[in-house]
Amino acid sequence: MTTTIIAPSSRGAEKPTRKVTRRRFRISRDWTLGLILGTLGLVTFVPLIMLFELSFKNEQQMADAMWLPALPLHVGNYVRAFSMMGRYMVNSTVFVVGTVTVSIICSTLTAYALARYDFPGREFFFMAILALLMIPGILTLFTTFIVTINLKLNNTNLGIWLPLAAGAQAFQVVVLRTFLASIPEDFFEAARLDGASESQMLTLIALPLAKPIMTTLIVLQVNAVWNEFVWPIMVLSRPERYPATLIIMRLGALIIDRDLGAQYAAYVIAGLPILILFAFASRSFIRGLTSGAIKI
Amino acid sequence: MPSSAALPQAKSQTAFLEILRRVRKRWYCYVMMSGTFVLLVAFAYYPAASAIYHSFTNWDGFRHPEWVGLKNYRSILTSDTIMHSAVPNMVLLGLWQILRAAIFPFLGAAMVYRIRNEKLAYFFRLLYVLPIVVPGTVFIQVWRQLYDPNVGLFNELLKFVGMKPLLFLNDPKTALFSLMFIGFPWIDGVGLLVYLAGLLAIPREVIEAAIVDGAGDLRRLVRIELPLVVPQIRLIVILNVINALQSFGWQLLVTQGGPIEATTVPAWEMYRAAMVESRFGAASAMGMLLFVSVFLLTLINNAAIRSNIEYQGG
Repeated sequence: MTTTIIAPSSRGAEKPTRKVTRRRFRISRDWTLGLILGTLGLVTFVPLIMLFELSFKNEQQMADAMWLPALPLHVGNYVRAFSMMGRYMVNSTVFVVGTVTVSIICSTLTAYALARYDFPGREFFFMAILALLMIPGILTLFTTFIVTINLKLNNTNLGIWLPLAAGAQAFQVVVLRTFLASIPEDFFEAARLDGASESQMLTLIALPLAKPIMTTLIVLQVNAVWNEFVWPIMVLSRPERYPATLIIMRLGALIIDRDLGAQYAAYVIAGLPILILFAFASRSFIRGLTSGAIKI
Repeated sequence: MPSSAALPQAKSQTAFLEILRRVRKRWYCYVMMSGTFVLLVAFAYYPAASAIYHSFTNWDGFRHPEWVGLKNYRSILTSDTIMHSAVPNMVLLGLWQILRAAIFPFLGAAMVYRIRNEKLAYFFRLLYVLPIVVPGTVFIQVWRQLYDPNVGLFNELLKFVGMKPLLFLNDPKTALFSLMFIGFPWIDGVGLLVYLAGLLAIPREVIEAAIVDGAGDLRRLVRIELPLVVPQIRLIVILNVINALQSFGWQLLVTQGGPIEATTVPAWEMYRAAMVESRFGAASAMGMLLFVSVFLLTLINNAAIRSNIEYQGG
């Protein structure tokens, strides 16, 4: 118990003997915590490890022992899965790119106007957006569906892009506005003295500063749209237009032509793009969330 | 350009001209906001107004609706399926979702916070956030496989320890609890990061003073860290209330609310009313009731979990 008291309070210059005590204490404590967190993390990952393992097995190996690893690995599952999933991966990509582009451009411009300019109705427009945060999506889900049908946007890309972009506006505008309003006015004043135009102040000053927060918003939205399945089920009636994450539900329900190994490989493939995105963006994403950069 | 040197006019008119002058000066602001507001009018404000209005009608989505007053609300509040299956299920699932989202990520964050080796701490942040890359439908399919009565992992384990296999999602008695167990051990990565942000914001001196005073780990956790992450708890509770009341992914993709209404929730009944039975009026009324519930719960949450600390988080 004595170490508990000495260790964390001992900062700055100290005798070497104490340092040794502290280090040993630190390591053992980190080990204990690491062991607990590692075990829980492993349990969290069990379903995914199982999926990964199943994706390399053939049906005979599954019949022998469903959940135990087996050799040889059947990489052919992935080849068949890729040829099945190709067009749906393209569908998903088109949905994601279109939605995020529309959404981020609209929300950035709106947030910038609300944050940096004083114009009649500014408060009103901001409250109108803020009020949307209180309305649960389920209230408007079915009437939005009818609007989409009436605009003849079902089974089209716009029918996915526009409603999903609209759904993200409130959150994105509020977060971006808070950030843009926090940029010191001096930055803009200096640019103005240097002869920058209003649009240059947006592109040369505000956007570069907002890059980390926009990255976080984009990652969140790419993830959300890639994973969205309720809206596509509602507005897409033709399965060939389905996104990848939705078509795998159909693979699971197939009775004839069932290819279990390829089916599990397809599950893995459906998650791959997000994994790759995360590999590139995880650092700034984790920083963004941990530093509390996203404020409402 | 209207200038202030115009003829003396009625006061309201000059005020109006002044506004007009400011509108013309900042015309580009309205252009910048036009994209957002076109989207919002078409896919948010109009649908919201439409849902409120049509909740008092027998609308089927396409033909001209007839006004029926409170009939939709009355039939929801007297429906056995809704009041005796869907609502209790939602309350149970919702309370559990809120509790587990508030507790387990906090415990995880408290442990990560205590790790002194920075690389190790970062590794665990990454480890717990990583599962968010798994698409919801893949997650659902994998857990469904684990629960499979014939070849599922859980029944294999039960057989291994000599217990009787269960039907899990296929048995009305176990279906709801099977849904609640999903995601074990429930340390949500985003929640963990939100809590960790709160913990890292606690001044180092506060923690050190407590340690010097001889506060053990548990005391430190309950007396110091827990009260100081109240803003984060509030945020997580709000997000989960909203989510718990309207999520129906498992019902839509797997259980269809069954077996025998065991897993149904109001949001799923609403989906069925609209998309299967074309009763958009009734679905809108259900949406209104859920909206009012979310609203009241948010107010209660704000009043109940008060804090002087600045409100921030993910």
